[in-house]
Amino acid sequence: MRAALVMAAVLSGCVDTSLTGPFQAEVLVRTPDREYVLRTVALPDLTSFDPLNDPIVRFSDHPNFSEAELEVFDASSFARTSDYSPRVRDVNGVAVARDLESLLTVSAYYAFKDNFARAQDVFGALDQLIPDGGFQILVEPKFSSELGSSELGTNAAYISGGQAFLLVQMSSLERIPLGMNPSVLAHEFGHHVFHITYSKADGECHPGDNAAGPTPPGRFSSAEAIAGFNEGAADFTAFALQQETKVLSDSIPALDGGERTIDMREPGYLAFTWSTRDRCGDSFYCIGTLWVRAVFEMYLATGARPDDLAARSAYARIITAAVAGIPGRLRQRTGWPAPLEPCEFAELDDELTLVHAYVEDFIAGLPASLQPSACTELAARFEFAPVGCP
Amino acid sequence: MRLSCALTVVIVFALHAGVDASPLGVGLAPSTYTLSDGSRGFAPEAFVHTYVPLGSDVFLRPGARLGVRGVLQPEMPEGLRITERELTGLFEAAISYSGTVVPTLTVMSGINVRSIQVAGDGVDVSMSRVSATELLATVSVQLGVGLPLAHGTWLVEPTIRRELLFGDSRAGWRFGLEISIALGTAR
Repeated sequence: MRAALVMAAVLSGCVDTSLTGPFQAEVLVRTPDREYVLRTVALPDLTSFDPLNDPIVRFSDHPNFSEAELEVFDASSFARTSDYSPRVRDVNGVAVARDLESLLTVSAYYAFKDNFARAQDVFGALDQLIPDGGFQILVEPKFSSELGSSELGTNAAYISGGQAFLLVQMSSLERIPLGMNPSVLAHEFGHHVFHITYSKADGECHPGDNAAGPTPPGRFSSAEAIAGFNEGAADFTAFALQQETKVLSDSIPALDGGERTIDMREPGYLAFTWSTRDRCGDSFYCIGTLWVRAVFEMYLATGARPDDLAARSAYARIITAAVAGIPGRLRQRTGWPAPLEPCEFAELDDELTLVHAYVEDFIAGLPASLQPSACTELAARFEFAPVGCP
Repeated sequence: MRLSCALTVVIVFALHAGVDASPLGVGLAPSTYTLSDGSRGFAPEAFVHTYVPLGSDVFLRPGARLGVRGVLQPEMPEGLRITERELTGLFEAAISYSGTVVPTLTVMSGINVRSIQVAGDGVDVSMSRVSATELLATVSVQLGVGLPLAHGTWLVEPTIRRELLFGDSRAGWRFGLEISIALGTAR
């Protein structure tokens, strides 16, 4: 009896991996039929599982950020983070997750890489599309403040200052975890595209630049309305990369509710305009939805089909270039109100001038062939007559 | 890993040494630990131990315990769930001082048999190889302060345990309450 117990103890715990590249792993995949399936895929770029990284992606383990660090989030914020290693076992040369978090991270790695590859096809040689230092992906970070420590629930996010993505704690609100949903990750990548185009063109705001007028860098980035347009650009990126028109629906059907659906032909589409945006919850997201719905209809007006990748790519480059040109045109305008606080500008209700200017300057940056439909679609949704439109 | 094996051997010998000792204590030990989503898990155990006098009021307390884990699961998405449930067998050896209170330092070693099950709702998991059974060696150190009741017939012992699971870095602190009754001579 004693010998058996000792033998059991010797044999126990002998679970380790002998995985070597090129790697394969079991991940959650979305099929072209929009079904989700756990299946084995190749991960040709992966350097290792321990830690999970490749030349442009590095996963970090459960970082804990203070409130102060969140105020200025940049690469230095990640100095304390450590490498993340999913718990996987070797099943005939395939890495198979041993817990849900590990399945999330390996699946997210696969979906991110898929989106990066699509982005390089769609956006072409956009400067810093894949930043020189690569991306960091933070697994289930915690945020602490004087009130205590908390974990954000049910979200994925992009942090522009750190070229980082967050995979936040999973919850029962989700059907497909947001971090495993390729459309959601494409949306987050869209924030990166907005950052390297619009925000880079606008510049970085510094607290000392607390002056009236359009001169300070970053003047047109921190307003809430711009956060809304940023969300719209992210939803447009999800369409460009994944042909997605309802970015949340696979993950959180209850919250999608049709207000984030950009295709009016979808069942449950919730129509609203600038003056009726309370139907959408009145958040800044609704501004972005108004914009992206217009941009989607403009695309259809060209005669292109949503499933035409080449057409989507060409269109995405046009839209991205127009967005990147907006800050320069905004800066040429005069009469902007003074910032309320350093780098903090007017509240949403006072930002109608900025919203109208953004829309007008977006239209101005489009090719002449797209401007008529842009005028029609954007004027109808934002309920004003853009300068320069017939 | 080697530590777990060596510790188990030592504890088995200690257990063997205690076979002729008396009294036996048998009991239940509900405990709680942190799940992966930050909520609290519940892990009940049943145990038996005995007392071997080492000197004045000092005892070696060898024993064994059987526990389960996974009664409560962390919050998971509706469409994709991976549940982990464990059956744990442990041998233990403790040094115990019998006074007004009974402080005890225990080392434990044994095996976790973990059942991992994947399930999908609207997700096709038919080709998945996630579901599996794993054997994991475990080593723990536990501090407890026993409160003898009814002239030592009952012992109520709040405990704090640090767990080490080989192959699973998620193991951590565990807080529990051991309630045992003496069979035979009172403690």
